[in-house]
Amino acid sequence: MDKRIRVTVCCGTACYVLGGSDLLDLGEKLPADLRGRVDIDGEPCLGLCKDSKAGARPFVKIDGVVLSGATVSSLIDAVRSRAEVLDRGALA
Amino acid sequence: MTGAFVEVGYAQENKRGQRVPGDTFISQRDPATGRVISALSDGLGSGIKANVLATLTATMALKGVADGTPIEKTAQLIMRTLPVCRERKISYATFSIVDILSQGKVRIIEYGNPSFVLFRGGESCESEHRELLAQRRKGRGRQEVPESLATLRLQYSEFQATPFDRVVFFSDGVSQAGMGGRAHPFGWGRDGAVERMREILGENPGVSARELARLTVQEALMRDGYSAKDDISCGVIYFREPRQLLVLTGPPFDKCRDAEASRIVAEFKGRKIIAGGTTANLVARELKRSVSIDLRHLDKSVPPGAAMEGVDLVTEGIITLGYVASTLESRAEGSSSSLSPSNPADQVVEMLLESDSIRFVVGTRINEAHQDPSMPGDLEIRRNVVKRIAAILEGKYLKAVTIDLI
Repeated sequence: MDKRIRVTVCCGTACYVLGGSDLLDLGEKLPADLRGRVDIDGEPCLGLCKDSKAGARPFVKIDGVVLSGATVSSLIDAVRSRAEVLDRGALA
Repeated sequence: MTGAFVEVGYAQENKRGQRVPGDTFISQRDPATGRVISALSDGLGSGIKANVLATLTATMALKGVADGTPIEKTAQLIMRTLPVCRERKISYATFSIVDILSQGKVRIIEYGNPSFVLFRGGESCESEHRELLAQRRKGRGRQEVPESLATLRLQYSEFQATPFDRVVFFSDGVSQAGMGGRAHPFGWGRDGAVERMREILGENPGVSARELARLTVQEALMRDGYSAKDDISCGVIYFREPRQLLVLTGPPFDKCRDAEASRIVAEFKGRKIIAGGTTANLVARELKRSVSIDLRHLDKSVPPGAAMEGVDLVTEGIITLGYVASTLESRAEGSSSSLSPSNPADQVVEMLLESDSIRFVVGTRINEAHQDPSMPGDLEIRRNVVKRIAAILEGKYLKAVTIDLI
């Protein structure tokens, strides 16, 4: 059984207007092989926009790891890397 | 009667093919005394001409009553001011004026509209009225007025309102709805309309003034086969316990007041909205509650809403409030179409309009991320948006609004 991946999208104002709005329906945009194993939820505000060292908005967390300046493609790439890490762990 | 809130609601449908209503409904509330005056006028004909007549009439009637001018004199003045219809050779527009003084004393003056209905305990009760006569004086250059119209017969009623009373008044577009049909060749009549309202009250005894007006107009429209044969307008005044709503938006300027802001939410008696991600998080932290975003119903125009125990609605802040302000500004006030709030901002609008007394608690801490010049769109300063919303709610919807900055 594949391990599930949790994606948390920041729904705060700043993230939303800088591209976060495109990430909320990630479930429909994921490639077929990843679709079944990702849980997507939102947070009212991850609070990262107030931290200048956190990077660019919008912010997403993939299993707790922050992805800054997220776009649909960078998010899918990050989810895929995470899936590969989990799969390797399962094989080892 | 003290403590009751006077809710004023109305709904309207234009005669088919007309872009403007030929009926006018206006109201005003004096914040100092609590006196509320509403006026409904049905202008002769339909479209722009009727709209002008009705607007003139309703406005003059409202001002006359507010100033304390004897009503006969005001009526006379209105008829002398209105332009004479070229076809019908008369100047004519109906009016109903409902004047609610403090302590719930009600005066109603009617001319030409179906008589108002007083609902008390879910039943309609007829109230006594007397007739006031006003002579329509001929102005210079005016046509001879037919005998039947030379004297204006006004109906005057006066009573003391008790809590939960409703006063309903409408244009003949309501009572004559369905005219020409087989079942009711002359329309369902005032009695039919009253019966329908009784049913609505039976199903939902706490129905708001706005909703009762809307349902009545919808029923009339349905009887006209969804193509209004006349302008259809209904006004409702409801003496009720004020419905309270709290809107907390923005984190407090000083972080040590987070607990205070959260306590306001916890202790507020009424419905509650939190608008803002940071705000929602701080309340969740202080009250040890969880907040979860609902990603099932995404809407492109505003960020998704969230749920928190003990709070009726949690939304994003500035984009949502900006959307609320423009919706309130642009919404046709008497719109009788049913509202099925499709996004969190529409839900906020609906909750604001269903409330009588609204308290905004506005945190003034600046979110530096919003000051980034690369942010698109026009993200306004929170307290300015709230002031805009408050001004519309007070001026256009007669709500009692307070704003506290924290």
